Amino acid sequence: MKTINLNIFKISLLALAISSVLVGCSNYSSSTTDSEKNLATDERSLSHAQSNVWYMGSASTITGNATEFAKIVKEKGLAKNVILFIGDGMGVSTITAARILDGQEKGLDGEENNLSFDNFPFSGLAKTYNVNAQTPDSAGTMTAIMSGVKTDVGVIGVNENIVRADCSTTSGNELISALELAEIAGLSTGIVSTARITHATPAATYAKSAERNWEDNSDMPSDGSADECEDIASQLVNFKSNLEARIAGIDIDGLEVVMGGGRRHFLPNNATYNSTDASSAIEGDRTDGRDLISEWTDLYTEGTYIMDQAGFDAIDTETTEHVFALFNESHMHYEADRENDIAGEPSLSEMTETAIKILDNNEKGFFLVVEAGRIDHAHHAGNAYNALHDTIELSNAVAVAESLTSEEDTLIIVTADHGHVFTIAGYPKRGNPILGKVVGVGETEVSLADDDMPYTTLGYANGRGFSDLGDETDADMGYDEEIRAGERVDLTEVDTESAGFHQEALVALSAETHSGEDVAIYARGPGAHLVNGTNEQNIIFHVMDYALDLVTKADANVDAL
Amino acid sequence: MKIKKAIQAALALGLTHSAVAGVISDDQLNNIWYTDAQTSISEKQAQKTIKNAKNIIVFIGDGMGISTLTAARILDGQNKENSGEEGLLSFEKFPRTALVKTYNVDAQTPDSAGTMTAMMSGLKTDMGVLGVAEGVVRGECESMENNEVTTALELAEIKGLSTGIVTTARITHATPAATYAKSPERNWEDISDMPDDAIEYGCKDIAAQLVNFESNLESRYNVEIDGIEVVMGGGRRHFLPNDASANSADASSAIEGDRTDGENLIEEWQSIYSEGVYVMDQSGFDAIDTETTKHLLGLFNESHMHYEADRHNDISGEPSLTEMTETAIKILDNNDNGYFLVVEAGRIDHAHHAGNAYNALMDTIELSNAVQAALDLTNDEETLIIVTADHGHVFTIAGYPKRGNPILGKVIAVDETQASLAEDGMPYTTLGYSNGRGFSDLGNETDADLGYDEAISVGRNDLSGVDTETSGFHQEATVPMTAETHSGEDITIHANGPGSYLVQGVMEQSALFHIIDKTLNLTAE
Repeated sequence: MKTINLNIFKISLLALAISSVLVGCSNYSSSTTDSEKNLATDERSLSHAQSNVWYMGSASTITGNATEFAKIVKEKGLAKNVILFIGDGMGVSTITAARILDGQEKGLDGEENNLSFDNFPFSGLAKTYNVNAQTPDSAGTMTAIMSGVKTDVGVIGVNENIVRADCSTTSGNELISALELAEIAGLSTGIVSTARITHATPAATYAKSAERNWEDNSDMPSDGSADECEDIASQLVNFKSNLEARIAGIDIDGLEVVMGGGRRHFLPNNATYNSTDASSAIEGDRTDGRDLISEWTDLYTEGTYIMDQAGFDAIDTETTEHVFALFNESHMHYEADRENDIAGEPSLSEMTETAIKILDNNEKGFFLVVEAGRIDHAHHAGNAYNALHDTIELSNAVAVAESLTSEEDTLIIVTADHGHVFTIAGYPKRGNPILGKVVGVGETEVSLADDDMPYTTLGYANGRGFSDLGDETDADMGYDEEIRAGERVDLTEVDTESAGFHQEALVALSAETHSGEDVAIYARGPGAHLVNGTNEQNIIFHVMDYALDLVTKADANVDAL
Repeated sequence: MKIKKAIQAALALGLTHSAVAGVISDDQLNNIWYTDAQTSISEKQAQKTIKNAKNIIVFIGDGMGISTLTAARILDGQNKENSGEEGLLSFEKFPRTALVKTYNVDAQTPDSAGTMTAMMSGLKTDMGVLGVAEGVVRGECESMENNEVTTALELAEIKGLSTGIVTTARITHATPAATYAKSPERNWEDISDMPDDAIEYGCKDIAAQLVNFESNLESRYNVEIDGIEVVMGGGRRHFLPNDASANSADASSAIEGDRTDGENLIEEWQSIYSEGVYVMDQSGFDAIDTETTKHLLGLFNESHMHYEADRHNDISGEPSLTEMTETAIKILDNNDNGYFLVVEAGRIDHAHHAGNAYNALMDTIELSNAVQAALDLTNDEETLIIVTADHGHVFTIAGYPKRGNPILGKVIAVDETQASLAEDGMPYTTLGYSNGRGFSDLGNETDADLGYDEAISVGRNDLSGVDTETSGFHQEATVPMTAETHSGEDITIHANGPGSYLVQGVMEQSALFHIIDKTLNLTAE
């Protein structure tokens, strides 16, 4: 109901943009009123309001909220499926700016637009700090989201008793994740990311590691101190046997869908293993000689391994039982840069669609985690263009998930792990290009700061600062430029809306940083009503547990020893 | 035959129920983060849903964006000797929240006039205008016609509820004014601020509209009302004639009043409400009998009231936001029909504009205290309390300070004891602004506005020898501006009590009015 109402609102807003404002109608119909003291009985009363699209639109929002609330069923385990979307680094300012850009690219002013998940009925706030860090990282935050327990910065799937990068402290501190519980419960499971599949966020769904950077064995200490620990790529491939060894009495079938980047962590450091999509002379990083891709295909003999768009397009989602897709040597491309991939790679929306179509073949349901991993990377590079476009692509992927599932049986949660020091400044007029320079209300020329130079609406508190790379769509090329922060640049002649523009910053750092303020959680489907208020981030695990009755279902699938 | 592991373990321990030795280890199940979250889920399940309220209190933190909430929460905790991050401001414990889109009809990044009009009247409008729809042309009196809108405060008054407005800003400033005034220009706080043609055309200044609220509303709707019961804030200058003989004992200028029409609106108010109480200082405030006072006008400062941290510098003393909130509620709750109260922490915004995080956060903490006072004086089965902001500020919390690092301090990373250095070899603060006046170090100065006396100094400074935690430190900024700006990202609503169930998802800011309307049945059907 709420979605419908909001759609009406959107249509009304479109009308607003092209027609004169409907205020001041003097003949208000009193058919809806009966109170003597009610203003509506007076013709000078709320007549303006009743014909004002803002008034009627927000009134219908509240009616929709009441309807949505009435639909809540407080019962555990009503969900068959859960899809968790993580926008890495997608703070509230990123969502607002992406919403505006998305709208402007559709020909609207932009501000009135909604991203797909802006229309979800429930939202809450998440406190993101790690146990030992005021401003967190993705490893600690995703561990909290996936395991229900806050932990330290930089560690994966282990509690705060760990000492970061000390392998010997891992044992006994491992946490079980919602993905593992779902696997044990007999649900199909999937992980999709535009980042390396071994990167912190996806890794926290399946790995236990004292150090997020141990993505392959070459990243680990060679002094023997970490010999008892397994690198993250190896843990992914050995997920099934590892989990079966850890929890006695279970028999699982492994992850059904794994898609992302990071091939380098699965291949030996030997050019003969290079794929046709290799971007380095030697693609693989592994120094133990293992080819984990071959190991995976040996373990899942009926599974499908793919590495490019053609392979992706050939997937039969009705018959494929396991798919392992590594589309890039490192991270996948930014959405706006995807055309530059050597052998082609799918979008986040496409991966989401394929993942759901494979996972929903299981009558027991599925648990899917989808990360838009590169919102974070674009922000770190100080490039709002790509951060916002990857956020829009996440919104598209969420819309795909909505259309392929029912709110009756599928809980969809969209959230971020943390924000970025990314701001939307005053005072651009309505509809001013969000990537542009500030033009004030009623003005046509740019506003000038006290240094008589124009300034952009979007900016960063720190990072590498200004660079103008024209039409470059790879934000990471900014790292090849000199750091230019802490001073102002005359932007008069610069097209700040181009893909290659990197915003100004104050504090010079090798990369722009995360931020510490709360992030938002958006939810629809069974259990979504629990997403409300200000929460510690680890509550997300418990919402998912509630929706699926996950722990109970997992416990029920443990056979006697 | 399958025997479940958990059951087997339970039998082995002589227990009759499971919940032991399941898939999840006891370490994880008993982890304090895990159990706290479980408790939170249970509390959410137990939330009451009451649809109608007797009373509504709306708290506005002017400029209190999400980054301000997080930073204030941490400072509040650290002032109580905690790490800080784990705490919650009083209203962050409220069960229901929503995100709010703040833009004005003509502005991507909004101002308080347009946003508060949206919240009070249920429709978005232009920047800079009060209580009028977007058909108005800012600054043009004649464009007012047919664009005036009705506010929740007016509807509550007509419905027979007691009404109140409390702010630390001038009571004629945009946010409080949007509860009672109609003006195409927020700056028309008194007649001296208006162009002659607007006066001739018949537009009234905002202070005059406050004093004449009762008669104006009665003539507009042909109703009988008893006027606003509680009005407290600053802004005496807009009520007094530009004549030193009208100065109060608390005057900070040689001539306190600004009015050029010779009117003394305080005296007018006293003649309209002959049994009412006018107060202007702490002693007057302390003498209020909340059981017998029917109408109260408190104007505690010539302009804005002081920042909470600077309040001790007021000439004749002034109450805190918490004290004003308590007194307001105690007067308003004498009405069996209920009440509608708006409380603004108006100076969070001003401290941010001055680039001074210290006062912005301390005033946010004081708002949290005021909300707690309201919670203590009311019953959540009959009183809806809403806490929100009108817009945010370009105020950021940078990486990567360790847990418990002083929020006003310089970044010290996890496991480190020395300040992290930026690429320029200098330390940097956790908190910062994207624009504004930039760095200044005014030591123990508690008035953020003295920053305006300093030259604008944006860019980096060597903060090695600077105590950034002092009240007078003004954070660095990138883009030089006479004042730091608002920001455009969504802000939050926090709600507790009847009607709070309507606070969900992402909403246009104008939806707040409709929550109030539906919960108090202001417009009936």
